[in-house]
Amino acid sequence: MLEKYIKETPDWLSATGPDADIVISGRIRLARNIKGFPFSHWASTKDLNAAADKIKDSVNKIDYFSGSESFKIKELDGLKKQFLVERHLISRELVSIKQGLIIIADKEILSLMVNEEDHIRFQALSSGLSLLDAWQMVSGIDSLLSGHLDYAYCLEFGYLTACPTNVGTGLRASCMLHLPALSMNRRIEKILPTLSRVGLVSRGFYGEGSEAFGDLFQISNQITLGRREEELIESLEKVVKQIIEYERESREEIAAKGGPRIEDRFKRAYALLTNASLISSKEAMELISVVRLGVATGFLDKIPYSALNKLFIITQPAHLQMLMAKELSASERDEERAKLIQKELQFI
Amino acid sequence: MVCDKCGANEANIHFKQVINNQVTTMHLCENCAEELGFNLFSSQSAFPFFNILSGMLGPGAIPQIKEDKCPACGISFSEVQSKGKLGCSECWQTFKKQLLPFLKEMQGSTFHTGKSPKGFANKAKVSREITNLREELNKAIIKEEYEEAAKIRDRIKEMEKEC
Ligand SMILES: [Zn+2]
Ligand SMILES: [Zn+2]
Repeated sequence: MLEKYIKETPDWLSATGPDADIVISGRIRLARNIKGFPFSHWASTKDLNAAADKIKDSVNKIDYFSGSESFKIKELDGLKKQFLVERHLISRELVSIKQGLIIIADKEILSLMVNEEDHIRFQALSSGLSLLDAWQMVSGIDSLLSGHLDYAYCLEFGYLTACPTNVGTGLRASCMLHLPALSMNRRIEKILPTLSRVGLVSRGFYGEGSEAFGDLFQISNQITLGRREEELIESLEKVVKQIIEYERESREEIAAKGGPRIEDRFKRAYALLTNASLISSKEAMELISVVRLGVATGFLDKIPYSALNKLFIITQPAHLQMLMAKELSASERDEERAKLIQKELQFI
Repeated sequence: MVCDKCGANEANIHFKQVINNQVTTMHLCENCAEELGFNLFSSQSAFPFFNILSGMLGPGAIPQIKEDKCPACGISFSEVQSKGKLGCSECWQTFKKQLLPFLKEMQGSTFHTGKSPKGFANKAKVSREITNLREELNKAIIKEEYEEAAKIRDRIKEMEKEC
């Protein structure tokens, strides 16, 4: 049952990892294909079903997946699919793939998309900046699975993928950063364009092409070939640590400057967030972001980061409707969202 | 059919193009196609889009040519380019020549150095050693140390058997 997940808060929102005041989460994704099957985009329904069966069989042989659940995309309604996208469990691409499958394991720490662009896409999500730990874990599962599945691999190009942008390691490591201070002083506009020079790319909260609502930025490696996985991860972490430093400096500047104008900005955001009768999801994300910065800079009373992280997700449209267990119109959502936020923050 | 440009040779390369919402087809011989920069098999063709082609013919240019297809999945390189996705894992060997310049450009490398699946770890090591030996072989030949070069060559042959 997919409904049970709405009652849980995934671990990657728990703010327990290193630098969790700035790094919301880290993600390690591996792309793998099975030898002897055409890549998903070109494969027939029959091939896709056969590949999915093979993958499911192999997954079931691994203890780690004993409590896992799998869902066929074609059996999910639009709301549930959107819920999974909002939850960062599936990509927007998988939504329209009839033979797609999502396997969720270990309380959402690990998930596996089947028949997306590549036959298999694993991902592990973790709180804060702990990509190497997440890598160790995903890599372990990957090795186990390679004992049961014949991966498409060659010595020269490594793990063979449908798109040359993923070939080699098949690794995409990314960090979700909350950078409200760098957004406020607009230094972010100077930082992001420099990332491509070091082989990194930045995206919004929901990946490619999505806006950076709530001052949330996803930074990931672009290169996948010619470097070891650990090297790719370490060079990403190095840059992320630098950005963390910049964000801390900017936060300190804001705290040091102080004054009624700055104070008012935070208090106003908090007042709106906890008193408004209607809040759109975009407005919610913006207010949560300002409040999160207000807490970090000491202008607002302590609210646990975990509670604010959770709000980023549960105020999304599909989450809201799953929580209410019914479909809501846009205006009904704005009303329910405002109520939900008040409820979540009242005991804090 | 004769070539639209020289009017002499047999045209075996056909480009569909859309100009002012009209579809027209251009028929060229191999020589003229190459002269115009349409050599599909040269390393110039950029992945995933035909930059040169679309630049010259405008958007909507679709090359139609008898080209090699992947023996495993039956997909041609122009199909790969139009979708931006390879057909199967065999395509990586079939279209290696076309893919290498793209990898160099986008990835800055053409060789995997990371993890390998179970059972491949040993092979990966051997293959790396062969690469090193080939470099040594080149050095030996440059230095005119032919006896040494012959020894290295034998060693490479031996190792290639293992691979
Ligand atoms: Zn001609
Ligand atoms: Zn193929």
